[in-house]
Amino acid sequence: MKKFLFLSILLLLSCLIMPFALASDDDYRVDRFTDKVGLLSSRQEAELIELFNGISLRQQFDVVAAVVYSLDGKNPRLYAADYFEQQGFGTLDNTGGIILLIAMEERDFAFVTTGHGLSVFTDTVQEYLENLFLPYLRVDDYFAAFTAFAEGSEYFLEEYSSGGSLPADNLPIPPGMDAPPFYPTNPDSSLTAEERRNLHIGAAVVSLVLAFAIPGIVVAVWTRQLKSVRPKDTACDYIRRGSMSLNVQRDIFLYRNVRRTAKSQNSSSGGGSSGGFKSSSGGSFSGRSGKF
Amino acid sequence: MALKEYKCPNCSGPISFNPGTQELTCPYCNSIINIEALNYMDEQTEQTPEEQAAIWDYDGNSWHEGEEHGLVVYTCNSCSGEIVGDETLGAATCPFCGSPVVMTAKFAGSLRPDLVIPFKLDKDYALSSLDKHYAKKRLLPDVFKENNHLEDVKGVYVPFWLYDADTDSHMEYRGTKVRTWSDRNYIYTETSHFQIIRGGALGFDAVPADGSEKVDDALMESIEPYNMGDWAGFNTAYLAGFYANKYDKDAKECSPRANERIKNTTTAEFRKTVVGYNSVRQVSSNVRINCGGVRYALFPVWLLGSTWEDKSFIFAMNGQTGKFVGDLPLDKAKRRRLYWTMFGIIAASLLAISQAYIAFIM
Repeated sequence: MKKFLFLSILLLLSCLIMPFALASDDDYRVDRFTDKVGLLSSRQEAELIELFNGISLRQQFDVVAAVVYSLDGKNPRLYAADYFEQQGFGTLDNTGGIILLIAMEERDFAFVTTGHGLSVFTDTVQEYLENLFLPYLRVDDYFAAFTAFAEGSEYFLEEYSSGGSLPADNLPIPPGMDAPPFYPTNPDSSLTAEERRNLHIGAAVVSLVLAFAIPGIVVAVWTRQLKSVRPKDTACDYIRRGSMSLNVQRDIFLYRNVRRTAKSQNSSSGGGSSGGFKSSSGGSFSGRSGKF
Repeated sequence: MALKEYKCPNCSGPISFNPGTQELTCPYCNSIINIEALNYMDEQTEQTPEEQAAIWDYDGNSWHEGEEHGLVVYTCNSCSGEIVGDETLGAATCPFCGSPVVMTAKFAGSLRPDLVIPFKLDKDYALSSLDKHYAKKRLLPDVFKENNHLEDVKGVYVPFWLYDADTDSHMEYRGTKVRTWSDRNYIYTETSHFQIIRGGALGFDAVPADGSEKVDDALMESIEPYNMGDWAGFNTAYLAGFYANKYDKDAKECSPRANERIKNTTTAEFRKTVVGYNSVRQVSSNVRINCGGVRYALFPVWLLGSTWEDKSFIFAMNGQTGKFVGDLPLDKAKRRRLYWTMFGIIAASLLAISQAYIAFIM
């Protein structure tokens, strides 16, 4: 009887302790999905929190999303990077993370990545990911947009880990794109198989062009050596020494004109930017932003 | 026609001008004869009354009309052989006895050159320069070097006109200066436009123009320049042992080429004074060339003639500076072969290196 009682108490204690033990590395920060504007219903919000938390723990990589009203005049990418750091994300085994942040005041979006994400989410992958969620944002289907972002992020994290061998069957193909970009079999390389093929072809083309051009130049020089009779159209050798005198030397300003060229701004949806940058604390990030 | 033939005062053998010693030398007794002393002896000889002998006249055939046009027949004083030349021939070598002869009448009176630059380099130097000219020419046909036989190597005094000129010029250009800066959103490019005026003078001394029809002008311009510091007053003794031609294009006829060269040079020199602009465009150029005098000169040139595959090749060497020019034939088959050989090696190497490098970095 005593033995049964002891086991029962032990089982009870285990049930009480287990959730805390399982969540021990994850319960000290805010949720991985936050809606400060109230775009989503409570049920949708709860589903997204569960989705983002689940992916983050599975991949050991913080996949985060947030809805805010205003960027407080900040650059969208910088705001997203600072938000990510200030909320304490990116510390899961120090592997970094990715965040999608939208600001409703001027309908800005930004998604940025850091740490391990700098290798996973290359420019091509970022463009692909953007095309996954942006169409939903544009029609105000926020739940679908965040879901697409989360599932797309997980897909690429797994694809990267598997060395590019993962089938893309489950990933939706965004409009205007053929297929998800594949990673090379060598996980250390940041080039996809297609990029590698293009690089090989490009190098071969350049090699052949040089192989045509270099002998052409050499042979042209050798041919030119055979010709030494050329008329002399000037008489520089016969200028009387010291005879040059400048009596008139005037430089008269006539007019000026100013041409203004807008700096190039890269964004698929207008007004955004992409590429690597530093957060306010100096962390390295990469990402894209724009309007929706 | 009067012929001047220089003979050794020691052995009476024909003597010629030696570019190395700048004096006349006798190839038979190795005597070296000073030019001034020889001239003095000549004057003394001319004052001595000539012996008189019976003259047998011959009324033979005469030239048909037009047949003798451009031809002049000289009689060699040494062997009495007939030297037939064109009317511009001023110095030559007798084909029968090898005596150097100078047709003094070609340089008499107003035809007398103002100056001459004597030969400084001899025939051997010209021949060794030809060998150097062939060297390192990869596309020169091998058989050209091996089987090529020079048909003629002649030291020729070529007639030149030397033009002195002063120029007054007025040039106008349009220039731009570009400044760029940027702010957060835009790049600004400011272009300032200027009118640039330059005026002034530039002088030229002894701009040469080839006064001989027979010699290619481009060939003569290619062996320029001559060092005018080495010129000497004209003396027919310098011509002994060489060929010389009287001009057959007069100073007026040659002046357009000299004017063109003077104008080109003046334009280029004034353009050099326009600095500090990002772009400059010449709007107008006005070069007034004021004639400062013309001189008639003989310049030393070694001419080497050769034929190969029914084409003639003429080489020229500046007899004063040694500058050697002359177009050479091209071996097209050799060029094709070398091109494709190089292509194969370079293509294979670059392909191997680039593909290996890409595989390495991925």
